[in-house]
Amino acid sequence: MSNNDQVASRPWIEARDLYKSYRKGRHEIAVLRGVNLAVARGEFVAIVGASGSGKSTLLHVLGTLDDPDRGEIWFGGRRIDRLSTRDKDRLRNQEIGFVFQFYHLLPELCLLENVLMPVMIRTWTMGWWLRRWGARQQAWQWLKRLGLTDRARSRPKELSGGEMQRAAIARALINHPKLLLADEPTGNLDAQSAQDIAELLRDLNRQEGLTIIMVTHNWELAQRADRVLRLAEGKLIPLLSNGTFPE
Amino acid sequence: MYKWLLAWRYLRTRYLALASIISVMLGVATLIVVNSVMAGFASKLRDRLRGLLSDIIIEHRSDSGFWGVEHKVQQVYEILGDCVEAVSPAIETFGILQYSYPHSREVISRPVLVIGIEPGSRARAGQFAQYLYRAENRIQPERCFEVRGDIALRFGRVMEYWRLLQERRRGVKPGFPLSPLEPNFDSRLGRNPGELSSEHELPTPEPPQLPPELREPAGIILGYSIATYRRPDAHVSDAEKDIFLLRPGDRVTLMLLTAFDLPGHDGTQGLPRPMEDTFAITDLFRSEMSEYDARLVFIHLRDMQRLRGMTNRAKSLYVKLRDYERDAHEAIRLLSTSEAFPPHSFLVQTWEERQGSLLAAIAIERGILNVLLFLIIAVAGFGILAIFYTIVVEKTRDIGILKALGASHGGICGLFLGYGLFLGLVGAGLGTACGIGITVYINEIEQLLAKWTGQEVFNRSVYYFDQIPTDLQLGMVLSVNAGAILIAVLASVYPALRAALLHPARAVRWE
Ligand SMILES: Nc1ncnc2c1ncn2[C@@H]1O[C@H](COP(=O)(O)OP(=O)(O)OP(=O)(O)O)[C@@H](O)[C@H]1O
Ligand SMILES: [Mg+2]
Repeated sequence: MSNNDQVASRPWIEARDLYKSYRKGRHEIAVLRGVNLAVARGEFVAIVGASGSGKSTLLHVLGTLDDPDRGEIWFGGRRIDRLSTRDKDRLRNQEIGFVFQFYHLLPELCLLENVLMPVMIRTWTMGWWLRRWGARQQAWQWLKRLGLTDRARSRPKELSGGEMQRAAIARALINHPKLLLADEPTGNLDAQSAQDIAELLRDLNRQEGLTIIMVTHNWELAQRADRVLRLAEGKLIPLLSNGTFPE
Repeated sequence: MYKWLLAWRYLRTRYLALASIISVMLGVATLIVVNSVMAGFASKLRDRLRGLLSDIIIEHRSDSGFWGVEHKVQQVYEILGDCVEAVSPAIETFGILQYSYPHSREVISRPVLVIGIEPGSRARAGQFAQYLYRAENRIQPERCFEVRGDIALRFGRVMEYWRLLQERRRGVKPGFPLSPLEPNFDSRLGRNPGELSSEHELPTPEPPQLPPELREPAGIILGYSIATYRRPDAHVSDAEKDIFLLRPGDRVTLMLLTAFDLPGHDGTQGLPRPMEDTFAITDLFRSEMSEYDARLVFIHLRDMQRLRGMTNRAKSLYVKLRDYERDAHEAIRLLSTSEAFPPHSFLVQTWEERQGSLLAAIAIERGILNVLLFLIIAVAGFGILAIFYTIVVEKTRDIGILKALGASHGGICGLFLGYGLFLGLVGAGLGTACGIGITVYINEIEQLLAKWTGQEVFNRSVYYFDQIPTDLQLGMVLSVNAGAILIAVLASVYPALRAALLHPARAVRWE
């Protein structure tokens, strides 16, 4: 904890005045209307909010999957919303990990290959054959840590939701990213599995110093975070000291 | 790296892709088979056309030809020097062939193309000898017009029969003479009925009993289809498919026109006069080109000159070169500029120029067919495009995931191009295997089809080849493959670009 406090003093990820709207036929839906967010290195931040409030949109914008209409995003001292496509690809591949609500594993590949996918994307065909053994070792270690070793060769559809989500987390972390963006990682899981995933994220945050921004509906899960924010009316509102949000 | 892995997995798990593989495969197989068969036909045809002629043909423009055969042959050797292999003089003209089948006694006459040749030099200048029916003449073509051995025996019998027939008509001798086709006719000669001698057992020569004026009859070689007809119920696998109307040893009459206008008896300007002579069939000519086998008749140049009053004359010279590809062009130039063969009276052509229109027709036919078949593969290409597009739509979410994991535009594009390449490779590979298999076993397949459907697919009475000729060329197979693979890759360009340009956030949300 003390480590976290120390680094938290200066923002590592910063969103300044983000705007994002979608055009749906005639009318425009303004989803993000001036979002400001500052997250310190090693912090675990949870974002809650009503369905359709724009939580997924915010995560996508933060992770450069989508461009904001207005505003700036700073990551480790760099402005990332203006990067070239190629640099954004590299950033997503090596510095940011994504975990989605519906796991989003590739159905044609086995778990091990799914976990290795970011390494494969990172390396050229030749480089892959050189690095293959080391990468496999690493993937095995992740699978072992997440208790998936006997499932490594199974296809995603042969697995339970909890198993798939753990594999998705392994995939997000195989390239040692500094930031993990999780979009309702427990949304589709039963209570026990959700509990396990929450525990896992907490551990990763504590032990590896991984910065996590997590969107969730689950209040219990949110409370395991260092900080809880609420997205409402296109803006982020911090939790009051009494544990409730201002209405 | 992931491109290849995913392309490979998509290939193995998407059964929709099988449809594009099959269409590429069918296209490639058809192209290979059709090209091989057409090339086979074309090369066999070229072979025959060339074999019937020679490399270079020097033809006098007049029907009466040129004078001094030996001298002109000598001049060709002098002009062309070392590159000549053989020169053979010939006279071609039209004539009327008359004959009657022994059992019908009806006289049949038909127009034929008569070629007077020197068999020895002609065999060296072309493939004349190869097309002869009797093995002994193939070995010794220079003696192919000689009436000897069993032919002389049969001819003697035939003549005797006709003489007896005429005597009976005139009332000299009563009773019907023995027909040469009756069984004991042959057995009297110590042979099995209807049998022609082969090279293994030459018949014991017996002095022929000929009337004095026919002691040395002239020989004639008839086109195979003049002398035979195909049994209408003949099956592909039958050994004896043809019925012989005329056999070596039978008698025919040939009528020709003289080459010069002979003055009339009353001193007026005369006309070419018909001349006729009796010939003994010494052999049959079988080039397997029905057009020629039904129309050509060969006699000795000597007899042609005698009948047409063309002493020491010939109409054309057939020149065989040692190296046609290398020397043909130069030889034509030398011959047509030399004083011995002035262009106003001589036409100098290569065999290809002479058969130009036929060869060009084959080439055009092949070209058009290839264009059509490539259009078929192009249709397969559009099939691939449609299927790929479907797969891209189906895989939108996965593409979004790959982008979220950092895959670049180029990478996604490459994934689908690689997929197209794999489809093309697999389809072309299977198609090549099928195409080569069908080409190699095409005759067996044709026989099987004929057996099942009861219909002959390849009508042998039209083509006369007993086998469907094929010519499998490596270059053709490679270019067909390259074309098919290229089309498969091109067809995947649009879906690949479409996938690459998908918006990542929207793709991830795709359900
Ligand atoms: N591509 C799009 N085009 C138009 N509207 C969109 C698009 N993507 C999202 N929206 C709209 O933006 C709003 C916010 O969507 P978003 O998915 O961010 O909400 P969310 O908070 O994640 O909701 P949930 O809790 O249900 O996941 C919704 O009203 C949605 O309909
Ligand atoms: Mg959402």
